[in-house]
Amino acid sequence: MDMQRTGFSRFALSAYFWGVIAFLAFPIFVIIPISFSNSQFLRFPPQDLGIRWYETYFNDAVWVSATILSFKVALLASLVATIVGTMAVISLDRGAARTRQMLTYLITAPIIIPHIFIALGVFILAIRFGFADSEIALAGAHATIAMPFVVLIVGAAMRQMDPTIERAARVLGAGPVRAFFSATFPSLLPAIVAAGVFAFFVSFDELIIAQFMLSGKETLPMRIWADLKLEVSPTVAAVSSLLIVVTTIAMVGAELLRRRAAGVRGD
Amino acid sequence: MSGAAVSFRGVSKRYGPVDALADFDLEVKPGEFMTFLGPSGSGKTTALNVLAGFTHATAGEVMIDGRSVGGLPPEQRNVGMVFQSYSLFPHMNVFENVAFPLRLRGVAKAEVARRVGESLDMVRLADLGGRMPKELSGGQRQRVAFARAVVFEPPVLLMDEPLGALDLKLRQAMQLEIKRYHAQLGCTIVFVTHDQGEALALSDRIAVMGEGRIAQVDTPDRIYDYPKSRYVAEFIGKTNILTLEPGNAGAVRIVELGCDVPAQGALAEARMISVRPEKIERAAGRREGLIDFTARIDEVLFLGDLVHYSAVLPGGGALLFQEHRGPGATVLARGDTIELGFLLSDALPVSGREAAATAVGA
Repeated sequence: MDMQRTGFSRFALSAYFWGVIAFLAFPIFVIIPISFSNSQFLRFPPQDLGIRWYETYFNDAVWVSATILSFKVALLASLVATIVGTMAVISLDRGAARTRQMLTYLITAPIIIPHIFIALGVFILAIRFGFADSEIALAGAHATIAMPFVVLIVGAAMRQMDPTIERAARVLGAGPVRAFFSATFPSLLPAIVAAGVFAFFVSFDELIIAQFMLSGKETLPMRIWADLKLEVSPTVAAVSSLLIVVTTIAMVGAELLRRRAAGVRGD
Repeated sequence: MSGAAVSFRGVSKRYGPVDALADFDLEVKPGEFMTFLGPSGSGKTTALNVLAGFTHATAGEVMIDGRSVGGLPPEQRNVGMVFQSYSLFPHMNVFENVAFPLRLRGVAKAEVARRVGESLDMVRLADLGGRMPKELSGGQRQRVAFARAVVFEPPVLLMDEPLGALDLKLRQAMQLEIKRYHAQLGCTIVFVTHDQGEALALSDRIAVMGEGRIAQVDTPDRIYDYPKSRYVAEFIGKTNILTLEPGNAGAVRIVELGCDVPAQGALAEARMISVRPEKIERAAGRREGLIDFTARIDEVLFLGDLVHYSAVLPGGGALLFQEHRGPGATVLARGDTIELGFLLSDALPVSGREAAATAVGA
């Protein structure tokens, strides 16, 4: 049995592992090469390499304005989600232990609710109260779906905090607010920033709610979707490649920040 | 800096049906080193938290320097505090950590530098002001925490198991340090620990606590030599609890030894006596007034200069005793039968729950 475990089954497990990784990463290995093609159509493998479609993207007012809109919405959404989520974590931490678990489930529920339902709900509300086609309302909806991630990330950091550090600040002479900002907040900050980056991309990537909410304007995912339906130009590949690179850099940066902070606290 | 008096007057803290602290009455004198000693759940930490302002008492009054502080938040009580987990601010260097309470009090910059320097000098870390907490050893961190807690010269310093996270050697070295700080500063110290050795070594007085109440308050030597209850006798050091019952006319019987002793004074009313292991010696018919009996050696714990024995008594039960290895002394072996004895004056009547008389080590 032992021989088999170190032999065949070990090989099978690692083959399975790399199979799954390849499956997940496959689109990246197709999209990025295609984006550097100069041909008129999406074609793999690419012939005639060049950056023509990147130029198209940056020079096309429609693409650029969609990108700017997505950026604005994501910025507002992540700001709201980060502030509200962090405050939720603090109140969960300070609140009664009995209700903490239940409240945490409640606050993080948007994670398991399909976006289509949230989209429908927000859409109905938007029509009812006359804020349809508002990017601020869209940012609000995005903040709702991004906040659970903030609560999870910042909450994990908060649980690692030694509560006596804030007590020490209090007894040394700091009021409750001052004690929080001088003892607890600096240790939470890396996690808060990481959560903010995460929240930003939750909003930046989101298509369904945006599709319901906006009619006169387009976010970047909406533009990609429309482009794919109509003409399938390699611009989409160029945009996607850019998104992959930017997202990867931001996420890795945020994760490193979070880990380094965990290291400082975990000493 | 001089210390302030601390008073607890009928302080209680209930959590639902549980009394974490019940009718806690204690007067700590200015400059005194007072230790709350007890196992976890004995109320010692609750009492400290009530004094620090982290926990609100259900009833009663806490006073510092004659002033009731019950309504004050922790930051207005002007007490220093050292925690078991050091609780240094991880993002501030040593200097900034120690300067923190001074900055909150609006002390001028040059004065901050001078006083932080003095405090770090006292804990012998003057060169490490620029280090971050994670770059320090456990003992160094605790010394920084101590410097931070006293830099603003609080009249009362609270210490919550400050040596609990350190290893044995370091703990002993730090005990001496704390004694030195106390002598130098003169502030009142309220110290919480579950380590009886630490309490005996450091304190002016010890409040032994159990189940939310004070079992006994006294100086270390009196707590050790004259425990009032079985609980205190067993918690501080090691002891043997022997049961008494009425014997022949004018005598009480020590059940485990199967012998009668004259019912003098307190012994007449007592139901149990406590005899410390070091008060028991080999009898060999030497001393006047020795209560002697035969026992069989059951266990031998050889510590070099000291040997601990556990012996089986004629009436059942075990008895702890110990011997220093004086000139010519032999070490007993398991199974040896030996004549042992103790002086009646070393047998101390104690109150408390009765149980089969077995020797209990703390």
